[in-house]
Order: sequence, then C-alpha cells, then structure tokens
Amino acid sequence: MRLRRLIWFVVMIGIGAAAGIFYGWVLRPTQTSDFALNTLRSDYKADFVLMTAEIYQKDGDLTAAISRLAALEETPPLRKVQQAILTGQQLGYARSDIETLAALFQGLQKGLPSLTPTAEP
Amino acid sequence: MIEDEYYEEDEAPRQPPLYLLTGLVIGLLLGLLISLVIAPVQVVDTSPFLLGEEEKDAYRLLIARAFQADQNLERARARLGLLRDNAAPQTLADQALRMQSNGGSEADIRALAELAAALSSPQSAASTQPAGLPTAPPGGEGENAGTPQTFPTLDLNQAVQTATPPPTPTSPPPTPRPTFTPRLLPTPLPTLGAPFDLVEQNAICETAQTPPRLMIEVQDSSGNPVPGIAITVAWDGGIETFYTGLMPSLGAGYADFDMQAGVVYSLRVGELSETINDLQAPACGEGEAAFTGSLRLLFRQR
Repeated sequence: MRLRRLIWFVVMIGIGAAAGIFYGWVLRPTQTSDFALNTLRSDYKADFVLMTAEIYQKDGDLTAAISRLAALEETPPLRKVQQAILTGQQLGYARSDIETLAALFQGLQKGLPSLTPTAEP
Repeated sequence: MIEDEYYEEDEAPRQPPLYLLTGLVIGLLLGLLISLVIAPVQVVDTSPFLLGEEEKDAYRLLIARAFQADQNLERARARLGLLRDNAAPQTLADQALRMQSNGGSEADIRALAELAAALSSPQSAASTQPAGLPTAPPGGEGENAGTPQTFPTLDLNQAVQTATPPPTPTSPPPTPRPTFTPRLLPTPLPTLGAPFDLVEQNAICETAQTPPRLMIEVQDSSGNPVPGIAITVAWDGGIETFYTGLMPSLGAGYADFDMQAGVVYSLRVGELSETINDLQAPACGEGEAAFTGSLRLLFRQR
C-alpha cells in the first residue's frame, strides 16, 4: 500500500511539474513584440553588421563602428564581424559586401590589437 | 491479514488524499522553478519589425547612415521594408524631428532627412518594387557582376521562443532570391562647400495659413530640391536649427518655421551661405481684415 502511495505521489509530482513548465514556457510568455536587437535572427544580424561596415568604409570612424556593433549584442566586435562574414558567405552575399565586411574586420584588428591573436613566443 | 485489508480499504476513502495534493504542489513548484528561474524562455530569431521602438529607431538610423554611405536607395528601401512600416518616409522624418528636439547628432538627423527625401522623390516613386520585397543592387565586380544579391529573408512572422539553453545556431532557412532591378540614381546632393543664394522671396497672404510661417525651399544649382540642409534661424532671444526634407510630402528641399508677428529674424542656409537679415512676417490685408501672412524663400546653390 505504501508503495502504491509512493508511486502516486511521484506521479502527482510529475503532473505538477509538467503543469508548471507548461505555464512558464507556453502560457506565460505573452511578449510578441518590443524585442531587443540581440534577439534578431542571424541573417538580420549579419545585415546589421554589413550596414555598420558600409558606414565604416565611408567615414573610417572605428569608434563609431564599435559603438554600433555594441548595440547589437555583447559579444566582442571582431567575433560579430567574423560571424557576419560567415553568414554572408552562407547566404551568398555579393563579393563586394564580403569585402566591405572584411575591411571592417581588418580595421577592428588594427584598432583592437588586444583582441588580435598573436603568435606564441 | 484479512482484517488489515478490510481496514485499509475501508479507511482509505475516508482519508483525504493529502499525499496526492502535496505531490501536485511540489511538482508545480518544481515546474515553475524550472520554467521561470532555472531555464526561462529566451526569445531568439526575431525579425526587425518585432523590435521595440527604441531598437527600431536605432535600426532605422543605421539604414539611413548606410544609405548616406553607399547611396543605394533600393537597398535602403529593402531594409526599411523589414520594419514593415507603411509610411517609411514620414516615419524617418518624424524620427529626425524627434532627434532634433532631443538635441541629437546633426549627422544623424541629416542622414534621416536625406533618406526620407530620397524615398519621397518622384524618381524613387517610379520604382515598381513590391512592398516588403527587397531588391538587390547590381552585384559587384568580377564573378558577381550583374547577379542578384541575397538579402535577409522576409517571411518570418513571429519570434521563436525557446527555453534555455537556446538551440545551437543553425544556418538560416533558404532566402528567396530577389529579382534584379536597376539601381536608381540617388537624390541629388549639394556640392560640398558651395553656398546657397536667396533667389526668391514672396509674401504669402492666405488667411488659412496660421500661424505665420517661414517657408523655405532649397535647391541645387540645377533646381532640384536638396534634403538634409541645416537652416539656422536667429531672433532676439532665440536661435533654432532645422533641416530640409523632414516633410517629404511638401518636397525634399522644403522646411518651415513658425514665425511670431513683429519679430525680426535672421536666417542662414547651410554653413557657408550669407546670412539673410531683417526677415519679418508680412502684414496682409487692410483695416479689420488685416492679418499676418507667411514668407516664402527660395534658395539655390551657386
């Protein structure tokens, strides 16, 4: 009898947990807009970085470019540009756009020496 | 033994099943802990039109600055299409006005005004680009020359919500290949450094025009309207700067300013032009029908 009670007790815990998870993951998230930039899909993020690169190519202002990239998400700017280049290649971006991104990448490498991988002594 | 079974089966219905309720409550708390604290829902893979207003403003500004850099109107239009804004030029102009009133960067305001004006120009309207579908500019040199360029997918209607940890990023779904559309010529921009001259000054005496306005049109040397030109108006006790192109419906080179009757204004278009002094709202009509009219000034680049 005790074993039967224990089994039912565990079953009820499972049912309760399922209900709690259903509430937290399905019912409660009612937000359908007003999202932040870091929630954008990777191809939109890549286009965001491309826009930044286009502006950088024109004005050469690395500080402004870094600031724009920082608005996108918290990852280091070099990584964001790297990721954008990869995404751009996957999506078949025009060569000129990849070059624009590459120019920003190079600018960041020069401007952010601490983030540039260096050879082991 | 028989008695035990008898008692258990006999007594069970009379006891409230508290252990079941306790299990349910414990499970519920556990489930809430998991779904709200340990692994809450994280939103990923959203589209630009789902962004918050501030983020949309930042996105729009970036589009405008990118347009200013590459003068690719079709690309800017496609990017604005991602925000699903039916009145993009007006939204850009509104944002520029908001930034102006909040003391925003002059370069940013100018970029927004230029893009608003470029989108409103008749040349831009001639494009048969379907709403929301981006059209790529012609490809670059070499192997990509003349080939359509891929752009971010536009068909995502809602955000995907996942529990922590979010799924490993995978390659985006296939992107529709846009059709090739010839790149439009950008809106004419003024020659850098060339000043603007006042070529026309008219008093506008229309009773419906209240309050009196200083209506300014700025054109390049060919007579094309020029957006994004800073106009500084000063009077005894005040100074204000505003930009052409923030009211696309009235023209890309148009800007206006509310005047006060009896106040004398000085005005300068751009940075190198001469300052026009002694501007006043004109007196119109006579006797009881007298009212203060507006002033229209036309500037053209040398």
